Amino acid sequence: MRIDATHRPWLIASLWILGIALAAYVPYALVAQHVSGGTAVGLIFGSIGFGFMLFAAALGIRKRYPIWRIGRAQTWMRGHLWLGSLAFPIILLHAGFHFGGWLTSLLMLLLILVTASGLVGAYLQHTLPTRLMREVAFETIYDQVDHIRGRLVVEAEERVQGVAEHLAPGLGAGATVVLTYIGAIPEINTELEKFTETFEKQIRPWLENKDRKSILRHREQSVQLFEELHRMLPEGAWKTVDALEEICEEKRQLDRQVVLHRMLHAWLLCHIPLSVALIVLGFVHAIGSLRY
Amino acid sequence: MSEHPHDKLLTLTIDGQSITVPHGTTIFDAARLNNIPIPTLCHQQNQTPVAVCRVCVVDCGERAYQAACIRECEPDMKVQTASPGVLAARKTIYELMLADHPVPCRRQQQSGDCELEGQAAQAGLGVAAGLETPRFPKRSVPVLLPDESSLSIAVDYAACILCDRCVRGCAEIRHNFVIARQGKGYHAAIAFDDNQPMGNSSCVSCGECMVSCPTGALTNRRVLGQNLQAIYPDAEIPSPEELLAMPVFHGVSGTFLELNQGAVIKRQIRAGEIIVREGENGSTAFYVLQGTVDIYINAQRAHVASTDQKRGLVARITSKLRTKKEHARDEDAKDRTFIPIDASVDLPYDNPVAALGAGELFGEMTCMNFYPRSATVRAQTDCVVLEMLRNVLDVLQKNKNFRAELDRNYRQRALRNHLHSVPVFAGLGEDFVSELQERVELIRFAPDQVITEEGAVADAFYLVRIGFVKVSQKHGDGEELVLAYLPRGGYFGEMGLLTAGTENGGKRNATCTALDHVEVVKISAEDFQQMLERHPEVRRKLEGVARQRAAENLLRQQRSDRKQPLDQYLAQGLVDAQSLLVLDLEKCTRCDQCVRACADAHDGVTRLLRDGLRFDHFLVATSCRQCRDPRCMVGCPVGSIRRRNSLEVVIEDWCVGCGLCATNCPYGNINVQEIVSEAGGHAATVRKATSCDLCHDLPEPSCVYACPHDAAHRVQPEVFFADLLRSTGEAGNAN
Repeated sequence: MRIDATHRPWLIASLWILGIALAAYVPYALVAQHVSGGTAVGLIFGSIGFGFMLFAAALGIRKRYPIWRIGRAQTWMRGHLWLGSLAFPIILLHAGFHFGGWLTSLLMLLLILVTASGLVGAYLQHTLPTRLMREVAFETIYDQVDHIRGRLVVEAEERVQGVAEHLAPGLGAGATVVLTYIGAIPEINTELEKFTETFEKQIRPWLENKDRKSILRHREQSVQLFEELHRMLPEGAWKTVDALEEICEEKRQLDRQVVLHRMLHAWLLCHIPLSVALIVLGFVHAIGSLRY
Repeated sequence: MSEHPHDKLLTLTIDGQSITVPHGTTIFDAARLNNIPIPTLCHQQNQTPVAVCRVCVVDCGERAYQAACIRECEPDMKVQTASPGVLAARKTIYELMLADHPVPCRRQQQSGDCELEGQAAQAGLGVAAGLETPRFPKRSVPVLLPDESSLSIAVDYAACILCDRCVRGCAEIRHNFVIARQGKGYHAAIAFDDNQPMGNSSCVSCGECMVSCPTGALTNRRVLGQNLQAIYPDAEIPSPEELLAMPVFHGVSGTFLELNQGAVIKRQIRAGEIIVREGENGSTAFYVLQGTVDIYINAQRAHVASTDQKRGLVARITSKLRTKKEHARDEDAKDRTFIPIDASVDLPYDNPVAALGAGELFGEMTCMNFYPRSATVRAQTDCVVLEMLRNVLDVLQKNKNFRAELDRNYRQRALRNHLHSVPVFAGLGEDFVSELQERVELIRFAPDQVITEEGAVADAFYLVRIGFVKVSQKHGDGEELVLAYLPRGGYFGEMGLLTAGTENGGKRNATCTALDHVEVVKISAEDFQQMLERHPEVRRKLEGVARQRAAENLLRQQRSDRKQPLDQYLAQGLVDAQSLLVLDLEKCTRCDQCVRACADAHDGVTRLLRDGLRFDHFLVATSCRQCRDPRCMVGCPVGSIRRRNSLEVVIEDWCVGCGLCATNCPYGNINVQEIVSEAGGHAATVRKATSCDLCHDLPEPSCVYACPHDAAHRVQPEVFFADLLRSTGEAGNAN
């Protein structure tokens, strides 16, 4: 979610909550002999902090049922961001800035990791959509990327076949002329062979994702390669060479989309399991503390 | 050619039968008179034979087979019409024609009477069932795309066999001379005027070509395939004879009226009854036969002022306690004294009521362009009106009798108001307007037709009566910069005329193109100059406007690097959309919650794809746009796709899944899905068309509601993109 001016009410509310919490904590810390989560004030902080965590975690459930009319999903997301962030300082106040035993230390570590991964995620989701938009003009539905890359290979093959037929119409399907370009300019055979070789050895393997170190990964080097092809082939083939270049550009952009898409969502692989562990252990801690 | 007089007889033998006919008779006619069938495609009894299809070949015992339609009989000639050789030759001709012919063609689909397919089937070619593998490959040369520009006739070049029956029908029978041949060899095709789209040509939609055509190349376009009587059961469907007896239908093709029965109905309206209401969507126009109707705007006129969104909480709370002041009209709107509506009259601003009598037409823009009704119409007295669909109105508007009556009414009743409604002409004297009434021309233009070309000599001034006109300029790189869109009441052409006589003056400095069905009032350069001489204040105002427009145009050119949004807005058809699902690509994390929500809300089948064209930093998702001109509705055989009085397009339960609406939608926003239906007590898989229904039973579309990132929005494009477009699309124009 983009953190913009529309978040101002949430920011103000969060600052108020934090301010009130600090205002309550400071006299309590000054007066009380022993500051811990087990005191009445500590328990209140703990309940509020854990409540915030539960609310933040509830976003996952909310997203599983997108058409439930229980508040707009973006409101839930804003709550997730701000209340989830607030949980960390509130829990610090609950713990009196102590890590305690192994369980509470583990919980604190998990909370730090969850909060940090959440902040990283928020940053990525704030910035990456714009990059994705600017850098990937050929963006498509992520699940369709492999299919489209496959179609690009087929299209490129057809184009290359077209070049051969265009330059040598006597050889292609539906040929109607006897005197061909080939016949008139025999040396074009060599150029055609070079072109086909470039396609088979450089372009096709890269389009099929078999050559991951291809120079075509880089736009500048790709431009150079296609300029060479332009120089080598007669003007009649330039249109096809341009089309091939565009196919490579689309492939490059789709590859970029995959990378950015993974960055955009991969942090969740860390954030979600840690959050689940935090909630589960949080329950264990709460029940254990209240009972014993 | 026979040298014998036609009253002399000769005898010949056809298929062993001795036949006596006058000299000059063709073999085809001789055989026909004696009930010997000879198939033909290019020949009709009422047309000059041209022998281009060669289907009627017969064996006359000569070196080559002869075309019976053109070969004259000779004494003692022995003709075989169905020898094995003739049948084989004929079959080969059918095969060759079918190699280029879509099977089944549109005519075969509509009425099952494509002559080519019928005759080929009789000749033993299993074309209809696709049983026979074609001996000849399909053509490799691309065929022209179908021409759907005419509202009454569809042109499918792929089905054309170049028999020339339409050409002869148009020229020999109707004397219209609109259709001819163009191109050579594989590129040969029929053409209208100087190769215009049919809708832009001088075709009067008489229907003769369509009736003459033996295949699906020229077919009737029924609007929605619907019968207006289904909506108004009490209305009467006038017979073609009855319509032709009316002066306004005089000259309209009876064939056309025969083919389109139900597309025009006669309604008896009682005094006080509302005929149409402002704001409603509709698709018909009305012609008053008897009685008088009142046309008025019911909505209270009030100026809506913007509020300051940045006001604080206290100000917002206290504002509820304050009395609201009357907002005055904008100063710049005060000089508008008339409200343009979809009728031959404009309504006075202060008292927006007018009356229309017999011979008046209203609802043209709604009918032709599917705009919402602009005013409410109520019967003042008992009335009889003709209500018609757009194909009928289109034919009528091309009919010179009807045009003449409309023009006369407009000149007498509306031109004065229309001119005075334009602020710069408010001071025109009555005597001058009276003179002008007889001299102006009313001209119609089809969508995309160029009205004036940049660089051409300025020879007239134009006032927009119906529709929208796009004003654009070409730049060095050939790109088009749109300067303005002119609605009814807009005018153009004055800049070229005002600079006449100066160096580099007298030329159009912009191209004006019809965006939809447009009608303009054309005032010649002489009348315009005379008007300026007699009314210096008009000259002064026009010069002021011209200066302002020139400055604005210059500014736009300087901003040409920012012109992209408006061009894209048009190119993507967003101008036609009433509601768009847009995703802010700077916010969207591609989580697909919108798609999931849509699927959850619609039995597991999503109606939107998170894919589509980009406009600025928004993705216009593949989801119904609720177009102003919902082309998806045209042709639905069961009328199951329709628009509500609000704006959403809905597909009713009785959809037969033919997919025509999906084909018609230019944006790919309708899909045909297979769903399991348990209606009738047993489960069955049925095909149904689906499109976004805006989750109309919910307060907000599910996709928008479920978006966690505030990226999905259902918006009115002209409002949502207003700021973006303002830089290039501000009011004002050039030329």
